[in-house]
Amino acid sequence: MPTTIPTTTSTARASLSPNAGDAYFETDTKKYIIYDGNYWRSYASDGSGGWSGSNTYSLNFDGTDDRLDASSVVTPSATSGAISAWIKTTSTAYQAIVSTADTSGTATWGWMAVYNNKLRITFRESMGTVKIADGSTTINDGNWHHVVAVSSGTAYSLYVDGSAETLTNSNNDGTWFGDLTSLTSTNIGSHVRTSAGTFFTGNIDEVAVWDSALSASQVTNIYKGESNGGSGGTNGTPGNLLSFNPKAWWRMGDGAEANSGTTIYDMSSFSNDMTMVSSPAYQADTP
Amino acid sequence: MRTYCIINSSEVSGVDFDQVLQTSADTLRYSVDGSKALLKYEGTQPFFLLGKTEYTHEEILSILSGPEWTSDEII
Repeated sequence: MPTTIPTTTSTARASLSPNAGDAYFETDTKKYIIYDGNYWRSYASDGSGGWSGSNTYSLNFDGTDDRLDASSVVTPSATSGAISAWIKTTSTAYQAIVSTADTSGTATWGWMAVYNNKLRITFRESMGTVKIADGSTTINDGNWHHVVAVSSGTAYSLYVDGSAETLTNSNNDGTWFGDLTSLTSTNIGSHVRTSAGTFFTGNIDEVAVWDSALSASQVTNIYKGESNGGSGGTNGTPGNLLSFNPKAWWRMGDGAEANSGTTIYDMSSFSNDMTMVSSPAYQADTP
Repeated sequence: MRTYCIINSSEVSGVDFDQVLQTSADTLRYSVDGSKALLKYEGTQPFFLLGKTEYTHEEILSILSGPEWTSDEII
């Protein structure tokens, strides 16, 4: 006798009042979702998780008003963590890659950006001291680059194309999302405070967030498309991130969105889906 | 190919969002003083924008990088 799993949609899920163990099949994302008592966990229905075996698309942001908005904060209580992304840009502007902020305008925010043509991570709490680490490698040369910001909880590290950056610091104490008191949003391609700004001009692909620090060897694994602790990969090749247990992983066209529509699905098991604002475009341009 | 136009914020209520690449007045980009708004579209200029100056991507990025559109407050 087959068991029929009840169906829902990613939109209707928000209005459910689940108990731990409740399970559904989402008809729009084609994922199974199970409530663990705190979060919805999602699993691809074809058993492949978030990895389709290839990376075909990225998202192009035109630098005027394109962005992705999660309408919530990813890993809001993490006091250490990491952000990984692949970017391609020629812009010399100050531009956001991944950002969180209090959109009410309290000057509370944390974001990874391209600043002065190099990678930057910066955090600030309620108009307080700005915490900054700037990298040393020029990354706005029109080529794809893998960029990672890590907080150990007490200090930042930055990586470009698998190698640790020499840092220029200002109050580098590793402040992370969980150290800030009033974050309200997470965006990709823009820094949104009272309004959206510092828009990214170029392509972004394979963005992931963790609630604990990545090691240098894990960053190398990711840069080479290897599994966690693996070997034998190729420099500059995005791969399957599920063995690193990300708390969010947006594939920018290669996830459940299948390069169509205005939702970029989180292909980790934590359902931090993002919505397009304005019109970032799917492009067959990848690392 | 995307084309860009700038309108006065007082004209936003007349925007047909089915004919532009943005979806709502709430998510438009406005100038720092809030007096102007950015629109963009592909193909023929929408009727309600006739007479407005059209800008290329390169031209609009130059305009948006100026102090009228970009606050220097962000760190």
